[in-house]
Amino acid sequence: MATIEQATLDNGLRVLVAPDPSSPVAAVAVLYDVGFRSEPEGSTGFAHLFEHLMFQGSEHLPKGDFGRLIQGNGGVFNGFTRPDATAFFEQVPSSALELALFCEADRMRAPRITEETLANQIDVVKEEIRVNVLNQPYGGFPWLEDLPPLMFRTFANAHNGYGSFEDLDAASLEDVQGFFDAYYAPANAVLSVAGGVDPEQVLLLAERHFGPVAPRAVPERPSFAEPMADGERRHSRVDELAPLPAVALGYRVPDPVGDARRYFATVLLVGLLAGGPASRLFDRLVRRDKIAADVGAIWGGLDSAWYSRDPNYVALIAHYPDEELTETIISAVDAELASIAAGTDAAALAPVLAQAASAHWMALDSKYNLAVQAAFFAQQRGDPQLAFELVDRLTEASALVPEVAASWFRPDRRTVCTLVPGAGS
Amino acid sequence: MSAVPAAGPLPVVDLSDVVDGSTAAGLRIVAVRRPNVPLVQLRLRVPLGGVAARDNPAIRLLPKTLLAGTGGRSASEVAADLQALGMLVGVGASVDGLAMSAGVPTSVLPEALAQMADVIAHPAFPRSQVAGERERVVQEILQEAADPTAIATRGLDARLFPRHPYADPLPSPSAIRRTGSARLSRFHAERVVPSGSVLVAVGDVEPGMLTGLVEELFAGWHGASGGGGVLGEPDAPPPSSGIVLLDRPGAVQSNVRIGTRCPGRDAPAFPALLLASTILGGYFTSRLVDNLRERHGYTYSPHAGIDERRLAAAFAVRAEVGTEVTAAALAEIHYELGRMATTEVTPTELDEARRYLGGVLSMAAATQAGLAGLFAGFLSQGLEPRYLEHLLAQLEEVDAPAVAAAAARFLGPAVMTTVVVGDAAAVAPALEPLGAVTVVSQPS
Repeated sequence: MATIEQATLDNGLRVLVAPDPSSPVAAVAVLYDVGFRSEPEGSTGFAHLFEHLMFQGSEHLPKGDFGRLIQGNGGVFNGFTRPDATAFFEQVPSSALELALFCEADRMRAPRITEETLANQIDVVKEEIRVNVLNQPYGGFPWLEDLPPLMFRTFANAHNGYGSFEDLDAASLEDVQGFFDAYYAPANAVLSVAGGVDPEQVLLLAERHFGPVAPRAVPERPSFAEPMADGERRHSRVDELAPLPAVALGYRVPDPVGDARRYFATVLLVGLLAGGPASRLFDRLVRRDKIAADVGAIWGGLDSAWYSRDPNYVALIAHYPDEELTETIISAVDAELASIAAGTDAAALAPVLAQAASAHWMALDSKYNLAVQAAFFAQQRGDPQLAFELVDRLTEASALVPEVAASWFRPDRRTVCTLVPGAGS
Repeated sequence: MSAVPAAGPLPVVDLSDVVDGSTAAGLRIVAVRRPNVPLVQLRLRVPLGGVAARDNPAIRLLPKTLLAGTGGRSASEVAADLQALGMLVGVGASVDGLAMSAGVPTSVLPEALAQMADVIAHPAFPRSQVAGERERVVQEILQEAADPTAIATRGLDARLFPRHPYADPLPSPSAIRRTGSARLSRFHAERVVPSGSVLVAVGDVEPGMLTGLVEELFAGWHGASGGGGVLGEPDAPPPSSGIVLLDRPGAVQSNVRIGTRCPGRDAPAFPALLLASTILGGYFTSRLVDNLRERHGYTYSPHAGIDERRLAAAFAVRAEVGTEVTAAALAEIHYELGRMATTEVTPTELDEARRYLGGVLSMAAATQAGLAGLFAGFLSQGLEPRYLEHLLAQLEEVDAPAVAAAAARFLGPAVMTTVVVGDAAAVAPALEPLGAVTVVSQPS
């Protein structure tokens, strides 16, 4: 099995290298330990807006040069913001590794953000929210404004991470500087490199380009923990654009880091319940009873079970033709959970693990995935090697699946959000 | 510390080890060993012959019902068997063909191929499952009908491919509900045949061994070629001027689509056109992103690209823009189209776009799934397995005058058809100075 090399620069930046000599690609990810949980009241959406601003220029790279250099040398780049992290990445031909490191280091050291670029990116983010949420049927359901305010009480966990237009408009250059000073210190970041690279060379280049970034104090990460809500909570809203109803059943889940084995068991449980056409809920609701069009799951970290720390949640989601079926669907979920809680042996989980193993290998074949995954595991748990050991950890947690189903996925611990269609059909 | 480090050469794509063969029944097999991880990525592409608009419901239902049971197994059993092998399976279909993809562990490759062969050759289309899948498709159609980006794309396709199946209108729920097991069985028997189909395999496998396995395991898949005839090439659309405005009252954004028919990959002008399209709006470093997003803040992610079908290609600009800036955004798109068509791109712009395309394609070719997808796409358009190397070489040859010539011929505002989905009451008055506006009410 491949080994991930690790080092820490004098300024505190952690460096990971996952070499694969057979690959012609270098993937570079920089993960900062700040996400939308850390934005203050009155500044909803700021962490994501700041992600946009990091592409607006830096000391040696006027606006536009970052993209031109990376793409104009055959690479791709992007960034994303999650509850506890903001990720930036490039995937480039190996020969452009140093260029990618230079570009990331330049903006870690000295981003150049002006009134003009701030105003421009506020407009761009509003259009992003319009295209993904406000002008889109089911936009934001249930992760943006349905589940979090019901599942959590504190502003940090409950608020809309895309932000209100009012808060976005209020963002100032002082806020930008303050956020950068507080959270974008080298010691608050992980640099992760994967692919056709030489580890010694990567460490040398990391030292050359990131070494000069001055060390700064790293903020103490506050505890975002909060107690479980008492009893079931329910909420319903009309989506004027949606033609059919949808329901989301949200459940708080074990601490991904502090209670890791139960968390791995939760990931398995969700795979067994709602992971594709062979899952229990798909087989029952879609194939057998024919009362839902589809069933799936979404995590608090959004597109991955591994992109959020505690407190975290998972939501089971179904789209279906008729609101009258809502309670039938909820009862069916309860029945399947009860059946799993009553006893689920290794044989029942083997197919879920087989598919997880294929998905895992496929992800590792993409150096971008590997670099990002290793960075998250390093940041959350100091264990980047988990990127290679995920299937083993999942397998070892198999025996805990019934217990997790019984104790965490209870009706009195869930939040039910329904979306009522407002569009004529 | 201020000098920007130089980047070196792009990865070399070498497909000289690709094995190209076929089974006795005429199934083409294109395989290459890439043992990056212990998986094999399989892509099966089946052309569906001369489909017509009336086949639209069957094309929609086929990918949903193909896994709904085979001669000996129920739908649940098929799903469970695929999962037990660790297979990651997807099925889709369009006018151009049926597409099945599977990522499978090398250790179970024979069993996985047997699964694929069984579902492609012996689907049973059981009545009860077909009835359920029909209702799912009806719900999918209702959702698509409500999705503004899908409305806009269909609106443009309808005008670029008039009276051709590529126009791909949404079938009505009643047409879906009239399509039963017998119809699907007949459609499958006539159209889903090995001859003309291709199976791509990229991964941890020896091509020779794979070919032998496919010959053996797909032996039960029969069928004459050309069932249903040949799809005709779409006629050129009539000249279009003005703006078609599909009304969506209350919309907070407008979905802009500006497009035209253009040459496909077999045309000599294609490499220059691809570079022109890329420089205009094919990547973040493009003129449309710089103008519409990074200078004006009108939109999040504008794009220009070439949509290639087997028998035709279309160029399109798309941008989802704020309602109040719809006309201003359209004016900027027209300006950028006109600038492409009338002036040469700079040497730097051309070099960056060329390196971008070369880098993206060669990096995609470095993963199993990426290379399998490239092969499947090119082969289903009638191109050869080593077309990628050919394209990369072609891109090297293109100069700025060639880009200008392609843009002048194919990207000028005069040849474009414009469709906007938006709140007509709010945007029509501002759009009038840019062209005659025809408002079309949407069915509610």
